[in-house]
Amino acid sequence: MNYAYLKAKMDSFFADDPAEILIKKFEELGYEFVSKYTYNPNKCFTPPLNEVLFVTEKSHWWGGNKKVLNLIKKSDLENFEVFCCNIASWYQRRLSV
Amino acid sequence: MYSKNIKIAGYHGTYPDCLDGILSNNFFESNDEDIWLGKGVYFFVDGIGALNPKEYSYLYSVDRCWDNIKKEYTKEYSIVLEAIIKIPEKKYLDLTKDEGLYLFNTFRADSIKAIESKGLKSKIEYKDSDILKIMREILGIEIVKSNVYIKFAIQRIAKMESRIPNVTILVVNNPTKNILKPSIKEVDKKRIE
Repeated sequence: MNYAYLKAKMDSFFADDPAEILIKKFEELGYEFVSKYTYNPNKCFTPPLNEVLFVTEKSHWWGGNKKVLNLIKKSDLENFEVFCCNIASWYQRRLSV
Repeated sequence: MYSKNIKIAGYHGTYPDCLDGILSNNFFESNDEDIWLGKGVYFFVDGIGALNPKEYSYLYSVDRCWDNIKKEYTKEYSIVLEAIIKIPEKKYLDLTKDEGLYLFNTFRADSIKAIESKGLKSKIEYKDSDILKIMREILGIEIVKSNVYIKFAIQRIAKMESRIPNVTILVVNNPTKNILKPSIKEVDKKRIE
């Protein structure tokens, strides 16, 4: 076994965001992937790094990164609720791809 | 690029009616993706077993022809074939070595981590044979050696469950290239009983 060669090849593969390739290959083998998260507007959950974290209640929210926080701050409450719904649907749709 | 090859003798239990086909056409890969290390031609090789690989080949062929409904063997004789397997070191994953296990474990962990980074999880459990299949495709691996636990009749009858390997096996993909056809020969023939 040429460990150095195989290790270098493996490192190279994982260095280039291989998730889509892996998901496709596993799906071809009969695997089915679902969201790690279940959207519940009244519960906080931990998203992947650099993704959006939010909790919504009627008058209560957190944004998980600065960009989202700024966007939400610019919105009034009514917009914010819509915006959150949009985030939720976007988020769930994205995770289910 | 220069790549070193090593050669190793492997033993495969089968039946007299399969002999001509194997001698003429070489071995065929099993179609069973779920078996131990995935699809390929399986050989017993020297390693950790208490018996020699020829004996294990015989025992395995005996097990395979047991009809559990009729409670009888479907074959009268078993033969053991020896073949020389050419192992290109860059296409060889040796799971009997720490380095090989490290590669496999890292590949598995990093694969799952990459998928989870997209917020996804599998609905079913990941199987070793599936991880290995994808690893083969990505890294170009054609030969895998591993110590595994195989239940032969004696373990089955004695109800021996174990996670401690009892044999060393080699699974070969691309048999036309990696198994030297002229080297294939019958080395043992026994009545099944």
